[in-house]
Amino acid sequence: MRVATVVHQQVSQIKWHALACLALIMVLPLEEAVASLLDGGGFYVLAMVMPSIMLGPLLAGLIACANVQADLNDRRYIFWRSKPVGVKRFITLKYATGLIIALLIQACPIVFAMVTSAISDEKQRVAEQMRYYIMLPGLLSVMTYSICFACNVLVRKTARSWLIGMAVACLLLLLPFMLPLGYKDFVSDVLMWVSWFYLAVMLVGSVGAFVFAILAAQYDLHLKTNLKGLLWTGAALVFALMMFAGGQIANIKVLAERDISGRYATDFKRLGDDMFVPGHGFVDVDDNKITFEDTKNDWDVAAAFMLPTSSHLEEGYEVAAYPTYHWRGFYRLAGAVYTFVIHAYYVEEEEHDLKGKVRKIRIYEKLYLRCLKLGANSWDTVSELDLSDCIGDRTARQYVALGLIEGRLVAIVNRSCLVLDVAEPSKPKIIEKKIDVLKRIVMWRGSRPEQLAMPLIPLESLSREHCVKLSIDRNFRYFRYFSGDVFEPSIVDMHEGEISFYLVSEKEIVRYDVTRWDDEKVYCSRSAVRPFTILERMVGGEAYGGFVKNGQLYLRGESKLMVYDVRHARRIRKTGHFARMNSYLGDIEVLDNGNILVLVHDRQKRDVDSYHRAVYLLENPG
Amino acid sequence: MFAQLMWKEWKENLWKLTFCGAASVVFTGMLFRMRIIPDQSNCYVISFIQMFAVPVVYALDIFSGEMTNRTIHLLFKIPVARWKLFFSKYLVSAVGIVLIFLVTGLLMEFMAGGRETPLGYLLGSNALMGSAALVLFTCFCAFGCQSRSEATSLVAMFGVFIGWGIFFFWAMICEVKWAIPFAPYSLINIYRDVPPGMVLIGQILVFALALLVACYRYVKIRRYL
Repeated sequence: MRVATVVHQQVSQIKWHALACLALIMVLPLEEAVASLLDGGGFYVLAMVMPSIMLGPLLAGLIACANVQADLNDRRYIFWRSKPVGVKRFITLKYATGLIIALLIQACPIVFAMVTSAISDEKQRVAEQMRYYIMLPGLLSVMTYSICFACNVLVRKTARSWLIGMAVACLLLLLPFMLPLGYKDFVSDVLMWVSWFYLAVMLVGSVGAFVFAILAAQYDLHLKTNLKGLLWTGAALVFALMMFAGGQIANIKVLAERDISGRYATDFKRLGDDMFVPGHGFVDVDDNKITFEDTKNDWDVAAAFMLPTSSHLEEGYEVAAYPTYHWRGFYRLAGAVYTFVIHAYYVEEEEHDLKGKVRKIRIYEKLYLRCLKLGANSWDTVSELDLSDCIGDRTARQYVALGLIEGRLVAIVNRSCLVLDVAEPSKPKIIEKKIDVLKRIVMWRGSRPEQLAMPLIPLESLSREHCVKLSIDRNFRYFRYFSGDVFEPSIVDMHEGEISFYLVSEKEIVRYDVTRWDDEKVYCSRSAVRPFTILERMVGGEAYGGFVKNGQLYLRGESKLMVYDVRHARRIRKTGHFARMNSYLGDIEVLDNGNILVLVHDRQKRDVDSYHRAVYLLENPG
Repeated sequence: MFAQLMWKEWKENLWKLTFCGAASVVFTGMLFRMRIIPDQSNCYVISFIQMFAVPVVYALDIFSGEMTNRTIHLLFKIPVARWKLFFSKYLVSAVGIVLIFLVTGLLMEFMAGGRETPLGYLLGSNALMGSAALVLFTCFCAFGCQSRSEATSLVAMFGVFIGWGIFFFWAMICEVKWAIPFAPYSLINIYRDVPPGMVLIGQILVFALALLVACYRYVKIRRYL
């Protein structure tokens, strides 16, 4: 039987179905064109092209079913086998004819839009949008057509085949989101030139379905179905998928939640072992309930937090404080509450850049480390240390980090570092001070080199392990988002004499182990990688940072928290995921019993006067 | 006799109620437990899917099943008016659809407990979409009451979905405000410029007309073997 004869027969068999699908796909574009003409804008279509093209995959499935049923339904099944044409050739011609017809139908709204837009001089807008229209729905149509074709050859009932085919297509499109691949994304590695990772799924799915259809026709495979069984099976599959997805993105139990509001309730503040939320009070989570107390251990810090500080202005200078107000640490020393802050005094001058534009630059003149003590009505300055020799480049941005390590105050100021004894905060003593010794940090841009080396902070009054930890945090964590970070939390995990740290990019987590160090550098080698699944990356935004505490890595994204066990069998194993799409995560604190406090900001309910937030107490999944 | 017809239809279609009810309850419970998206969004997602899926399940073989199982000639031989046959099928389906949406709505309210939305809001939203589903199913009956196979029932059901969708889009784009109340989709989000009372009247008219046409067409079936 000649090819032309077979093709002509196939076209004749499905002509009415094709016309019906063409009518369906063209209704919306024609409506818009007529409406636009009646409005006086010209006979063209633009907005309705995309919605009508998105019907394409569904209609392609319909055409596939009609195409197969024309010859392979129960009543004609013996008849078509008596035709003088091989099974493979016949099925291939049938498949190709129907596919071309389906794609032609899908192209009609695009052609209509292009023609009418050309006539109405709307070319520019149409040309910009057409490239997005053609590729994805076209590929989806090929996939749904192929799968429905194969299902129809197997099941031989139109409606059920279409439903099964669509269900399989949805499953194939959803699976890449959920598969917890333990290695780098296969598609990114192999098909680097493709911007859509679904290309592999759609092409392989289509080819596989076509080959299966030929085999099913050749070996007369028939799957008898009943409606009840199909629906229950489908529901069970969807349930299993949702459980699988839920296990990936929503498995941390919420023990308690509480709504809060207030301008200053942006994060948790630590005061020794106690924690408070500014404007609300000390957080108490006994019996898995979140309550706030005004006082704890005789300290009314919650109210006192809002007390003014004494003025540190100097005539002729502007002043900047590091850390900024929200990032300061509060310490209980010598029976009182203290905080440390570095004040940088600068003047502003104008200069012309290369293009002749005027811009203001800061010239830093003085730097002071001050200790503030919580008094009855204000924060009072109890001591002051001149650190102006640590300024370095006077026109450069000041990089400052400070905090308590091993009971001593350690400060990193630009390229200098110092250690102070603050047992008596009103009389701090410098134990060690090194000016301009710190080397430039090694930039990390999200790659995963085998070996890394970074400058060591040469402080002899601290233990070497703490120097290494400080060096790693300085190189990768400080100054990345804010100037003035305090030292905790850290990305470094020290356990059983081993030091490792974790770098997070948008695609994966990489672990590096510290192998050795000398007087100048710390040397590390990569030991583990844990890529994120697509679902993990999509739900809650990209992960942008985290910290390690007690063998658990806590990673945060805009609207999510992920918890990983990093000590078990030296692997990075995910244990929990918490996401709230309508909120963005503020501060995260891990309590001593392992449970997690999260402060989230509600995107929708915020206004100037009431910043709507919530505090969640989560069960640690580790 | 009508009660016996109802009993027969109820037993035959109980599996649909069980299936849709179980699936709705399980997925509602899962989504409201996970809380990745807000309760209101969860309610809209679940109700929107139910609005299409539940009528499809009922429509697939409520009429065509008698044809494909070749029991329709036995059914027509029963000494009872054909309109009663039609209404027994329709009422069982309608009660099933209403029960499914009611149970789902109540479960949503129970699980949400008023934490993000006012009490009754989720039930109300779900009920509105349930009403839309019922009107869509009734419209299907007008076209699909003479269908002889699952395929034609499915085509009729999707034709109703798409047809009303096109009608609704046209009314919205061209701002034909008098037409909006007649589209079942206007129940989903009561169009601001159209009073809810008009939407209610429009839907009642569509519902009554579709029911009448369906009953008439079912009574007038002549070729059924």
